Amino acid sequence: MQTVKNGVATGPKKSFSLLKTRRQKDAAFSLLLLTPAIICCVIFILFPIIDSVKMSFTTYKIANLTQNIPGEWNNFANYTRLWSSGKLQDSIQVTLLFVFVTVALSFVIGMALALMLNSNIRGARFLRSVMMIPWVIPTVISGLLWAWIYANPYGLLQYVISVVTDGRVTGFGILNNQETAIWGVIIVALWKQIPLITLLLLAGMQNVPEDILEAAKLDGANYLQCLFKIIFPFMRSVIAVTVSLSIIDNFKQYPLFATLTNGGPASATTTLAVLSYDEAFVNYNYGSGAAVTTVWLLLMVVVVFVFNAIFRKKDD
Amino acid sequence: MKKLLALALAFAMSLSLAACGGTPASTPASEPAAPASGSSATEEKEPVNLRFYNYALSETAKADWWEETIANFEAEYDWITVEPISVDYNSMVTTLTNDLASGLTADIIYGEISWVPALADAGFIDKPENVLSPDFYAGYYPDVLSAYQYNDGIYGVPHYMTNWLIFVNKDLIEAAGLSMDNFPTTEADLKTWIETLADYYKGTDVSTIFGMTTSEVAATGMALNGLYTAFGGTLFNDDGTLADLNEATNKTALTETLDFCKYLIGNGYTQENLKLKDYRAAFGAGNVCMYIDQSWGYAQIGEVDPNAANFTVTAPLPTQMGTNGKGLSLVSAHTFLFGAGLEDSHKEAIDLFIQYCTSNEVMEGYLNNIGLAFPAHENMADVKISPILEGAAKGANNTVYQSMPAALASVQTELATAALNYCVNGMSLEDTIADYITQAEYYMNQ
Amino acid sequence: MNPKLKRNTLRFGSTTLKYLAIFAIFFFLLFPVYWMLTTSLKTNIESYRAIPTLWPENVNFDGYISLIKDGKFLTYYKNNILVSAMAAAFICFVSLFAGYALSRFHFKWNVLLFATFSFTQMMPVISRLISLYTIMRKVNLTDTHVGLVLAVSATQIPFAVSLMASFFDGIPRELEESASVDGCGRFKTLFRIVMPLVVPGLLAVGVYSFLQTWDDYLHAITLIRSSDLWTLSQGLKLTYLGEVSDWQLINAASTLGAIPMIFVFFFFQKYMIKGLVSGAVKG
Repeated sequence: MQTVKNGVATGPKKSFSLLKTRRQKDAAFSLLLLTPAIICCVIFILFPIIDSVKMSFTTYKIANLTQNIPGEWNNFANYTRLWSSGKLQDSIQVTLLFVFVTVALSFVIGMALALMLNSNIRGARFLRSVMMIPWVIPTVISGLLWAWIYANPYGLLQYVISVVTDGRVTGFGILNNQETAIWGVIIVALWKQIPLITLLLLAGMQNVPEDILEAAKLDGANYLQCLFKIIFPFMRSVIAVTVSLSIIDNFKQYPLFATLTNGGPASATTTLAVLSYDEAFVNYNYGSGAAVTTVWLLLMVVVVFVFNAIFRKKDD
Repeated sequence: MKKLLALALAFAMSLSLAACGGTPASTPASEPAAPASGSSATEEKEPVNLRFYNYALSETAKADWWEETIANFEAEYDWITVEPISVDYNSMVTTLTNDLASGLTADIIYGEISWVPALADAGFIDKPENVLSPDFYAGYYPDVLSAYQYNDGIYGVPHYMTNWLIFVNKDLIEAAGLSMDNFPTTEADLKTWIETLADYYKGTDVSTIFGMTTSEVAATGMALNGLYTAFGGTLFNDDGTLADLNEATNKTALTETLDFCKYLIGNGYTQENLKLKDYRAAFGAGNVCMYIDQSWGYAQIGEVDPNAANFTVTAPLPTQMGTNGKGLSLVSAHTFLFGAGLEDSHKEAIDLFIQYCTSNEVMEGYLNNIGLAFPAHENMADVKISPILEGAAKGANNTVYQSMPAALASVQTELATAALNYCVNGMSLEDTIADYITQAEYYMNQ
Repeated sequence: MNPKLKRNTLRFGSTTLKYLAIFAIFFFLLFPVYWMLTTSLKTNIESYRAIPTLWPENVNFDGYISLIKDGKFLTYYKNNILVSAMAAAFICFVSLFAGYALSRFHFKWNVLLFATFSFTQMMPVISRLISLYTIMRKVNLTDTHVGLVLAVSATQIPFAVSLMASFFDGIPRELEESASVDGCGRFKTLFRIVMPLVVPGLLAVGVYSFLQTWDDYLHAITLIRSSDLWTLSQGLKLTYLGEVSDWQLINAASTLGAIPMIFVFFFFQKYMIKGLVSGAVKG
């Protein structure tokens, strides 16, 4: 790119035209190579998204779909109906709670585990491998596996709790109570996500230069000082990527909710994902479902943007 | 690279081609000519392929039965083939929407009464009077048939039916000194039984004294509406609008329904937020004294313990419940629905198939071993009813039907939310009912 | 107290604590997997006990036997392997080209493309299902594995492309430049010279895509109808979990569904970890 620019700026006329055609050739070749990826993204992702945003402003029901009738503009009725019912606000709240708590906890636990695995302990390599097992288990199966642990009255959890509380709390169903249900899902999300986060953070720790750490230790810095003054700053970009991946993943989470709670009890775990699925595929109000996903998408973009902005600001 | 371009071109072309295509005619595409069918049939028939959407194929026992029944039917009527299409219970409407939109046909849909509104609204199903032969159609029991009333007519026919009933573990009851001969017929007596059993089974493997499902799924919605009906309430007016739940009878019934749930959950006689299938499995494992279910719930009881028939008996709901309740039961039925706009040859084949599936010979084994239920057509009047259902048979006539709104399933399911709000989350009765009405209206007005 | 001694006890305390913490976290990560395995070997009657048993009293393989005898489970398995393998191959093919282009040629549109790719990565699947179905119908690809492969591949392509690009970034340009001096055509250079060097990257992308597409559920239930084309997650949900509460069977199916993924991961973990780490950390 440098040479091209220079060529354009200073080169004689002949070499200019040569460079130009070479650059054109590069452009053509590059585009050709990119075409399959672009076609896939446009047809299967971008176009459907635009279509769905359009749909969110219309009344769109089963008959529209079967008889190929375009939806009818309804003056934001999908949005106002969702808003005035309070469902939209509630599910935004649940979504943000879920995302925030899961991301924060998985980061803290993942970071702690990564630090411990990074400190010459025996069998670290082996542990790093078996650690990944929850991550490779398919999500639907993870949901089922935990649904069985949580089951009331035969699940393992309620038994453990009744033993620990000496029989005072029996038949505890973590997913059956409005207060605790979301925590039940968060635990499963943590179980599934901690491995990858730990792995990425472990890799990022390789960027921390040993000699600076050693020097700091000689100067009498304690562990926490090393952590905050040296380790974290060197891992900044890894942390940023890991956390934003984790934010996106948890915003998109649907299968866990579908297998564990289906949004209940009494919509205590109805995230935007669950709400949009229910509106579109349970009540067959596709316009309304599309309105939820549009809000969902906007919210996600805003959160990721804010996160990046904060992280960049710190950088300067 | 040329290949890639060609591919892209072909892709673009197929896009434009398909756009012109519209809906192709409803001829089955992949239908091999029926091999040598001439001699046995009295006349040469054009081969007909029936697309049969069936959710029940996910259960092994039922899948095997349907496979065998279809094979026998095809052997007898050799110009007809029945193509079973397995669909998830919860995604039938979505599946049909997608399939019909892409030009496939649906001849028969096997499902539940509560699917009628969504499917009829979408224009997917036809009235059975336009499909079945009049003589046969006239044989359906009118009480059951009226459960299919939606808007301007009847939109489906039952395969067999059930009321809401109580499954009882005879062994557990008798061990506690109670006898099925004196099974309670009033709510008060039922509570006495429950308390006796609870005392007797304190601290044992018996986890549930009287199971009542309160999980937020469609089947539970039906069950709770069934209970509310038994307490004398009505959820929908005859024109399919939401009934006035602040009106005295309804309010009393709803209050008593919620209080009954709170009595069960609050005292630990049942768990909160469990599905019917959970109670079925636990009952099969011998850990449930009694619970409310439909008759065919036995299929899953038998899956856990194949010998469950030895301890399983049934009873109808008490005939005196709450202030006004007569223990009336809403009808549940496994149901045949018929595709809209079918050709005459298909209608004729459907008629033959439904008649075949609604006969004593074909159904007796099924109703006794696979899907325990009561007959809903006079052609099955002589069928021997499973001994397990003998107790509940008294209640099979104590039924009532409700008219259906489009949002039936969601409005019923909200009853579970109301029950959980009131019983577990500490919401007051007034707030619970007010919140229920708000939610129900949200779905009614979409 | 002697300060040296104090320091040693402190160190001992913190090491013990460290091992305890590691043990606790690993217990949390691995015990549920063990519990799935044990339950799959218990009869339902044993599972429905008030006091659970840590290991089955009588090891019982009925769950596995009925799954395998059934035949359907194996069909779903085969379908899922087919779909995931085709998707992985397709993703490798597409991301090889696109990653190379983005790494080697710097045009203004690269920024736009990276932005689009990271945007598409954020898209919730549910928002696309209806339109996706309509599109697939128009090209007659509903209820085919090809259609499903295209749809699930599209969701993984953005990440795979940035992953591949970062692999190409790690390969010196000199090699290609000397090749082009030797008169090799562009494609020849790509296939003969560069591709062999990114085989580890391709493996990482392939295995990652395989694992991710194996996890797909929403696309499958939307696009696939015929039960002989169902994938594993779909088949598990629709066949064994409908209205049935047979925990032995469910856990047996879960175990069989999870184990091959664990093997795939262990077998390829060298590439996987390297790929994921370099992709995510640099990207």
